[in-house]
Amino acid sequence: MSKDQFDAAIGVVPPSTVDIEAVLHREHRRARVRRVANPWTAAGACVAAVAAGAVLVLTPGDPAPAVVTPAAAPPPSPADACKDAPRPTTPPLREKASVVAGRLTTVLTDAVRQRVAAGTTLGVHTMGQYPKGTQHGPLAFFHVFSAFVSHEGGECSGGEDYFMAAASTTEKAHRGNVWAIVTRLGGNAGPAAECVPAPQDTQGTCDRRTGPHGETIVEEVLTMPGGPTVNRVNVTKPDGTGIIVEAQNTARDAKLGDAPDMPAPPLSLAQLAEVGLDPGLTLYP
Amino acid sequence: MKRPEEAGYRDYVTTRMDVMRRTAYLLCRDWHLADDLVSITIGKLYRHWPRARQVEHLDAYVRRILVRTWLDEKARAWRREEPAETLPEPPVLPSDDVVERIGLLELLDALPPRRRAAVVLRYYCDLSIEETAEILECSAGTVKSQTARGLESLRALVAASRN
Repeated sequence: MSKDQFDAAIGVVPPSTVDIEAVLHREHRRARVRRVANPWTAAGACVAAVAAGAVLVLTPGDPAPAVVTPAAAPPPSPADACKDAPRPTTPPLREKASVVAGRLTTVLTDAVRQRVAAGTTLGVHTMGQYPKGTQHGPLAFFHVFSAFVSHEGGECSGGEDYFMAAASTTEKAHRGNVWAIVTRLGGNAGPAAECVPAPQDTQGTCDRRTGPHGETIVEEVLTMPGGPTVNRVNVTKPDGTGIIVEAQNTARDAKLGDAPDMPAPPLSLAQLAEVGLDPGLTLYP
Repeated sequence: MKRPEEAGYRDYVTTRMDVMRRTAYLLCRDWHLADDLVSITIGKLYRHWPRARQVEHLDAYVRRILVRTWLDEKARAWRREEPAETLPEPPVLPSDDVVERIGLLELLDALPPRRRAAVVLRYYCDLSIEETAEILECSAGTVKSQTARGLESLRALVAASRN
């Protein structure tokens, strides 16, 4: 078995949908948000740096202090790898995870049932499996959690902490799916707070607005030519709850590139926004 | 990140895009997911670029991020594959070379994630046992056994398909 055999097996490589500019845009924003949104973290880092013998150089006009470490500084330890990983910035939950999941399930199920087309049935969906092999019911929330793990070489994995629910939808021959994430803000599954360009080869629209109670709402539609359509609404609530609600007009997962199984996703952007703005969909009742 | 550093990052990512996509595709067998994995990988690389660009084997460093990203993604609920009871019929009979091509990829797809990663790293990326062990964060002995079992499974599948 050789590299040439693998390359031959891969065959013709389709055009790339990796958008380097979008990645750079996202990383710039992430760095900016990290510096601006959490001054206490920055202050703590400064104190730690001074304690470690580093010299702080403050340059007027710099967005953040530059840290000049002494020569021959030791290489970063594995424990450092997760220090910049996104972490929840809103208060810990007051309820047990199982209680939160049960409460959110009732709210989401009611909200979705009231809005889907008459005669639509909700079924289980593979996105509702967690941990692997454990299938949760239609729109039944479960707590996705994994501890941070630092790897040598500066890589960090884990750090998941959010609630998720998913369901397939069937209305006559039309099949689609709906899923939702409810999370504390600042973690690794938070809602988008700004519009970013759609990936290459994908048609997209995005609209950012403010909700009736100060919520930040980002509404996106993504369509691949000949492929499924994804309606997604991101809601950032002032109480610190982040919500992503998505509807796809494909039975499996839009990422798989199947042909659409219905003309449009089972819930429109306006309906998804109503679901996301439901006052019951919160981590801080 | 300073502008010259960012230019270096952009050059590296653009130059290595094809091989990153091919490696990701061999791991996940889905071009959409492969591109997602590469996007996540280059995002992580950007965050560590000032330090990463100074490492001796940058390609190995990036491969490590890519493989770890894929293994992490495999654990996520919305990435799991939905098994189908029957395979869809191809619309037209594929030619021999396509059968051969699909054959190798399908066989690779039948391996569990870490075993598949071991085979891709060893035989596609041409890494040594030690380099593969470092990326998969296991011992050289484990890589040997994973690769051997992977090849054993491939041979068994080939034999079964011939029979």
